[in-house]
Amino acid sequence: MAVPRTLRAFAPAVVLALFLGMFAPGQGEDPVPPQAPRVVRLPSGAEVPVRTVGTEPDGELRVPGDARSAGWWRGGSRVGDASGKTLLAAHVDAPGQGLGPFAELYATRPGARVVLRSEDLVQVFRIRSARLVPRGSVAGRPGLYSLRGSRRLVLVTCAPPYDARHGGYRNLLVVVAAPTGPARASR
Amino acid sequence: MHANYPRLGLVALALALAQTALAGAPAGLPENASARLSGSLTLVQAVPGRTVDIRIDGRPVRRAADVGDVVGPVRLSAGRHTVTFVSPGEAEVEAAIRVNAGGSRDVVLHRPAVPAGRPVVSSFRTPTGGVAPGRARLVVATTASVVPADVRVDGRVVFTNIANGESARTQVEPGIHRVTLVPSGLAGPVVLGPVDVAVAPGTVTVLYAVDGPGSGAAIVHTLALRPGGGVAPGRVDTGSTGLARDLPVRQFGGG
Repeated sequence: MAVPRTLRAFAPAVVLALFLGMFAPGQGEDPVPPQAPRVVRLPSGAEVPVRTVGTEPDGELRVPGDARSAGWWRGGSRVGDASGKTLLAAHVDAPGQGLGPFAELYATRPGARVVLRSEDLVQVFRIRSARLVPRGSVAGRPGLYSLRGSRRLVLVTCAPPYDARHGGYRNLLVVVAAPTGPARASR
Repeated sequence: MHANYPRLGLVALALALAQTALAGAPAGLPENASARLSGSLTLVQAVPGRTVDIRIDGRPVRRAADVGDVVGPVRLSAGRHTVTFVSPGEAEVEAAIRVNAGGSRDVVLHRPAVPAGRPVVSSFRTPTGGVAPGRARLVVATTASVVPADVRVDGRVVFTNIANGESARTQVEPGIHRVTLVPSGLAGPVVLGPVDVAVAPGTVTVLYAVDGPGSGAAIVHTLALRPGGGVAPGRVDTGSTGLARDLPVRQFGGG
């Protein structure tokens, strides 16, 4: 055989590598199942803890009273889901706390980076849009929370104008971010 | 393909339909007050090549159950009950099962991990807690003589390392899902499937992987769930003090 001596020396290693390769997990597989988000990192670097929340019977989202935490609607998509929206909502302000971290979204810019983390997964998003919508119009906007359609992170907080006699803030700021890639294992 | 094992997906669907028809009376979850003192058992015969008589507390509930037969749900008082599986010419297999008030449990006669071993009984609590609106729950259990397996749903690994007698659950969108079991950590060979499982919203669908020729077989049954997780969000109230009333908001991008 005309196999050079040096190659022959490596042959056992090559065979071993091929053998081990047979047992390696498939490429591009993500062995971690989708998980509830735990932390969102805003463009400023502020890390906001995320709590899993449901809705009241009348459809009101149970947003945490503490403006330093965000609520994730548990009916929506999780970190690692291939499609659908992850809806996170936080108070823009709270008594005794001043402005909450979500207030920075008022001044955010296209392309700003938001990172969503669960216990074992991390996914990076870039902000695509920021729009004001009337506060009472969430029900007619399944694009904010639906499990279907493109994968999006939707960040929501209250926004002016403010009318103390008519329920406070009249608008919601809806910030939509698109993933830069799939969710990956964080460790 | 073996005569007893027509197309796996069809078997799964047919069994699910049969189950729905059979469960006319106590269709899964207890609803009334007396339900707090009772629970239900569903009995599953997952040993190929055997016909089995099934008794609960000595009372016959099914004669000559074939592989794939799903019996129940049978409503029982909360507490311990004895489930006995009797096969002609074979030793009886008996298991003491605790029925929890308001709970639902599957009792499965199946092959152990070792192919030559005698049939064993595993019991699986049915996760009947509410699911989010528009979601359904899928439970996959390994009751076949196979090595620990990874479960793929629609090509994605959603559970890893499920051993014989173990189960794992996840929430899925309603619709048809393709379930495949492969040896844990490997790309193949396939242990089960692919099996197409129809999942209805607001239900829990339980899939048992069973020994069979080629790529195995599946037994599927379904229970209805209470709604949970609340309705879809219709209102978001995220401000209180008016501190942000004069802050400018920069808007951009599509609505």
